[in-house]
Amino acid sequence: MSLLQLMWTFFYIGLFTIGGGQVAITLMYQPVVEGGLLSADQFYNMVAVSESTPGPIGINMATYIGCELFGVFGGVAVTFATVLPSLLIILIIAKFFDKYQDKPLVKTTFSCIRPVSAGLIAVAAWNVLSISVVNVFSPIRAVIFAVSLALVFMWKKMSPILLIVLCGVAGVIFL
Amino acid sequence: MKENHVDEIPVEKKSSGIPSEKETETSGEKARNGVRCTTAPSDKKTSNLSSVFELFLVFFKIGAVTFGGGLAMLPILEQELAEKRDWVTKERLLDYFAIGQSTPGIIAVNVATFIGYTRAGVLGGCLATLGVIMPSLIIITIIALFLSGFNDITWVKKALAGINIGVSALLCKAVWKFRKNVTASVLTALLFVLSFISVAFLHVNTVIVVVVSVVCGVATYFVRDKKQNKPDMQDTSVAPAATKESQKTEGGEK
Repeated sequence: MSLLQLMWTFFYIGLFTIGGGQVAITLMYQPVVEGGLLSADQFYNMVAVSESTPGPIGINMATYIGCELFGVFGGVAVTFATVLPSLLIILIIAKFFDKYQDKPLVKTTFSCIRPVSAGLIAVAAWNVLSISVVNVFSPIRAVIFAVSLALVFMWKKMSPILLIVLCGVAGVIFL
Repeated sequence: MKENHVDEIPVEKKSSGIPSEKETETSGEKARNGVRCTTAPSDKKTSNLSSVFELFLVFFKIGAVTFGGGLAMLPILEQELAEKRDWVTKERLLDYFAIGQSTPGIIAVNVATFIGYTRAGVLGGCLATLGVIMPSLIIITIIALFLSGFNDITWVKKALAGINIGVSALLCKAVWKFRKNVTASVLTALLFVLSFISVAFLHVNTVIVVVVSVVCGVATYFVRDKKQNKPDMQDTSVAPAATKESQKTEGGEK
């Protein structure tokens, strides 16, 4: 597969990823592993790295696969190919959203979408909590979670970035 | 004011003193770019160079500290965009996430494009997107080229385990912050609970859940608001009908 073909494949993946990174990984598996570009082992190793480095998982995967197969330029090119469809689609949507966001129908509709959006964030909270505390329970993990909760709820000025750094350090020391 | 600009990224420190506050934009810009500047407050679209550059830096920073996918980005976005900078409201951020969830593309990128466009037009959308993907590009390229065993390093594993715990606390707080949107009426509370259960435990596709909520919203408008022309959510007479609807969809998914 040439770089252009890989870019086209990832453009297509970007276009059909609806609902986040996990969907993107499922879509990538077929052309990349079943297409014989990488072994399943290599692929899942990349998934693990993408999940544990900062940044959106889908973007991390695109960069990683591109870079692995075609070097630095390949990584950049494949990443841009993945982003392009959503960039175009959102620019179009944003243009109309600007125009219609104050219409009563749109307002009422969003008053029903917001609780669902909050529900999906609750799902994300639950999923992360499951893999980091509930499923691998230990007292020290529970303590780190309790302290983090106390910090974000009691101290209004707690910055999320600072908390992430503190928890990373706590992990290195205590886990 | 001062502490708003304390950042880890040294580049930002240099620039953020200049344009980030609406009021100071005018003078700072003259000094840096010589761009012709308007005295109007930048609440609306601003497409001047320094604010577009700030968009890039803010999203670069957000991309660099987002662990665990697009939704984990919300608490950081809230802090950086709603609290520090007053660019968007918390509610608007939720709307962007709902749109980002149910349209093609990676959620984090969708939200970045959306906010960038709303702030500074097409160029803003492109630069915010570039900002959010840039840390990934840099970090992953370095790992791919030099650190093949990155994930097996013990302290990396430990740090990540700790970070995940912190991220879950941040997300709990994020949900708590939106309690007003959830408790607005019986219908919204039901939608919250049903969406959580159906996605977390029944593994219903998130797109379907968002689409159901859109249907509920449109139905609410036509059943209630159109007759009464009241914008508030006090009337709950529509709740049973709409709930049945969402349950039906869930049942079909199982």
